Amino acid sequence: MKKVYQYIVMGLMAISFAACEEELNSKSIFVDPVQDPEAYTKQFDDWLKRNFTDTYNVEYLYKLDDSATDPNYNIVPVRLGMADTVAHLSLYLWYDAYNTVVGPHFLSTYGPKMIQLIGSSMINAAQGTEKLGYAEGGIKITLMKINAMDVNDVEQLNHYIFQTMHHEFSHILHQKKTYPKEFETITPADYDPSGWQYRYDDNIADLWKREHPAWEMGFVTCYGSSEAHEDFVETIANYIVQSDENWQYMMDHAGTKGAAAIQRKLEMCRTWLREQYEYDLDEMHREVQKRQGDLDWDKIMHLYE
Amino acid sequence: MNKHMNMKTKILFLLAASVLLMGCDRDEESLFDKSATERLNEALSNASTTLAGAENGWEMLYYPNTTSCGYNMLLKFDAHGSVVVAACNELTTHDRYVEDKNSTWTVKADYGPMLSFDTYNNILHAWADPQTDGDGYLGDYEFLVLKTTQDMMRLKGKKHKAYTIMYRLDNQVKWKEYFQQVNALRDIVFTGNDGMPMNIITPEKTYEYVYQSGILQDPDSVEKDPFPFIIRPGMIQFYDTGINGAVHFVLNNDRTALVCTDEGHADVRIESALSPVEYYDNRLNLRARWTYIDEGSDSDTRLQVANLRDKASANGAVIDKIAFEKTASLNSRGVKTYAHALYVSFLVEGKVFEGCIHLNYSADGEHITYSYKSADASLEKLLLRMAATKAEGAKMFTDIFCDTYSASSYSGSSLNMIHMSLQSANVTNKSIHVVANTASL
Repeated sequence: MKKVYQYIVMGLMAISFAACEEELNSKSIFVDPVQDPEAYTKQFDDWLKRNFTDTYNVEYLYKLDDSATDPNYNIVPVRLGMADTVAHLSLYLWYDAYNTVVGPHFLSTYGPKMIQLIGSSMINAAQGTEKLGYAEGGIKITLMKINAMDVNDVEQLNHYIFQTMHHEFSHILHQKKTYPKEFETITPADYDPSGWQYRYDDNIADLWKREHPAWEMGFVTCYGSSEAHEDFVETIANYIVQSDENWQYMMDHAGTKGAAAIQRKLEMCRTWLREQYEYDLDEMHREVQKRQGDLDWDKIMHLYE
Repeated sequence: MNKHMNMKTKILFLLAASVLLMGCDRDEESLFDKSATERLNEALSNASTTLAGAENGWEMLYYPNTTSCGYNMLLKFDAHGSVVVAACNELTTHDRYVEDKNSTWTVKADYGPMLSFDTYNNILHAWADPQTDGDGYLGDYEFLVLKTTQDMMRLKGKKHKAYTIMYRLDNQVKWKEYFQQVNALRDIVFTGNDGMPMNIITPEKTYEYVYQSGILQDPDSVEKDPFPFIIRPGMIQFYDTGINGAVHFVLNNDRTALVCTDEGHADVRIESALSPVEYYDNRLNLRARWTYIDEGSDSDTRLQVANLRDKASANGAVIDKIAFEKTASLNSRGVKTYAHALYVSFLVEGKVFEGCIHLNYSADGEHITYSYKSADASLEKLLLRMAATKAEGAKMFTDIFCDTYSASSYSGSSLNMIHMSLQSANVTNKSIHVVANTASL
C-alpha cells in the first residue's frame, strides 16, 4: 500500500510539473528599435553604420549609457560634434593605418567590437590619477576625456585618444596570444601599481618630457612602470605615436641603463608582433607618423562617405 | 507499528497532493490586465510622448544632489531625440541666459522608465561634469521617472538620488522672461543676502535659520535639517516635502514675509529675524562696511556729496568710497577695542589712500545716531587739501553723514536688507542709500 501511495505521489508530481509548463511569451522585453527616419542623429548614425559596423563589425557607442560604465566614477557623455570628429579621426589615423600595414582583415578579426566614447575622464582624486581609457575582455575599448581635447593638437590627440587606442588594442592582442614572459624580467623591481603616478616630473608641462623619470628606470612612460602588461602595451603604443624626434629625445635622456632596457623591450615587442601577428611595428610607426603629419581637416572630414 | 507507518504515509500523500494541486492552480487572477513587459513598454512610451508633447517645453527644478541648493532649467524635448536646455544662473552660465540645442535625450528601461540625456549638453551636464576633483557639482543626467502626468513629472537622479520635478510650461511663457521673473524675485529677497538670519514661524514654534546660497541652514550646527529651495516666477518652492509639508511660498504684499500657499500650511511664514536697526548693527559687527551709493539717495544729499567731491578734485584728490564702519584694534594691554568711523578712500596722483573720521555711534530700537568725534591722521592728506585744518575738513563730511536716522530696507523687503535707506529724522530731504559690503567680511 505504501508503495502504491508513493507511485501516486510521483505520478501527481509528474502531472503537476507538466501542468505548470507555461507557454513562453513571444513578446520580447525589449521594444524593437524602430528606426525613426527623422531622428536627430540619423545622418550620423547611418554614416557610423556604413563606416564602422558594416566595414569593421564594430559598434561606435557615443550615446552614453552610464550603467555600462564604472558606477564609482562621475562621468559625462561626449559632445555630438566631438563624437563626429573622433569617428573621422579614428578611421584616418587608426583603422586606415592598420589596413595599410597589416591588411584590411586584421581589425575586423582582432579589432574591438565596441568603441565607447566618454566626455570626461574617470578621476580618482584620492590617488591623484585619472583614467583616459580601458579595454574590456578584448571586445570593448573605452576612450575618455574627449570633450576636453583640442583636435588641432597632435600631442593631445595622441595623449587622449590614439596612444590610448593603440594601448588598449595591444591589450586585446596580448589577451589573445600571451606576450613573452622574459619581458617581465627586464625591469622587475621597479613596477609600482600604486605609486607610478608620483613618478611624473610635475615641473614640466610637456606631456612627453614630463615622463623622463620613468625613462631612467627603463620605462617609456610612468604609467608603463605600473605593471608589466601595461609596460608592454605602453612600449608598443608610444613607439607608434611618438615622433622620431620624441623617441630619440627619450633615448638620449634615459641614461645608459634606462635606454638599454627600453631598447630590449622594444625589440621584444617588435619580434612578438611580427611572429604572432605578422605585424611590422616599424612600418606602423612610419604610417601613423605620415598620417599625423598630414592632418588636413577638410580632407579627413570628406574622406569617408 | 505498521498501521502507524501507513497513517504517516497517508498524511504525507494528502499533504503532497494538496500542495502540488495548489501549485498548479492556473486560475489565479493577475492584478494587472497586461504583462510586466507590456506595462514597462507603455510607461516608456507614455513618458516619451508626454515629454515631447509639451509644446513650450518643461520647467525643471533641478537639485544636483541631496545636499545642494536647486537650480531652474527650461527644457524642450523634440520627438526625434534632440533637446534644448536653457538656464540663467551664477555658477554655470555666469548670470547670462544661455541655451544649448545640440544634444540628445531618450527614455529607456532601467528599474522602470529612465530619462537619460545621453550626449553632452553645456547647460545640463555642467552639473555632472567631474571637473578636476572627480566630483564637480555631483549632479545627475540619468533620472528614474517616478511619476508622469500631463503637467508634471517627478524624477529621481540615478546616481546621486536627488528628486527633481518638472512642470509643463504654459504656451505663453517666454523663456527669457521666465528667468527675468525668477531673478526679479531673487533680487528683492535673496541677492547678496547670504548670512541673513531668517525665522521659520509655525503656529507651534519659531525656528531660527540663516539664509545661505539658496538654502535655509541651521545657524549653529547641523542639528536641524537644511531646507534647500528654488526660486520660480513669483514664488519659491522648497525641495521635496519642504518644511514639514509646507513647500510653496510667496512674498506677501508689504514684502515682510514669505507666506506658505499650500493647503493646511497657510500659517507657516518666513521672516527676517532682525529689525532694520538690528540688521544694520549686525553687519557692522561682522565687519561689513555700509558704503554710500549716489543712486537712490535723496537728490539734496547727492548734491551735497557732489559738492564735497568737487571740492576735493579741485584740490587734486579724487574721493572714491565713503562708508560707515566699525573697526577693532588691540590696545596696549592687548584688549580688543571697537570704534565707529566714516571710512573714506581717495586717489592722489593715481595712488589710492584711505583713512577715517572717528564717530560716536548709538543705536536704539528705531534709530541710529552718528556724531563727530575726531579726525584721523590717515585722512590728513585729503582733509588738508579741502580745508585749513583737519577738523574743518572733517566737518564737511560729518555735516552730511552725521545725523539721527531711521533705517529701512532699500529693496522694500525686510527679508533682504543688504541695501538700506537711512532717512534723516531731522531733515525730510535727506536720505542716504548704503550697501553692506560683504567683501570686507
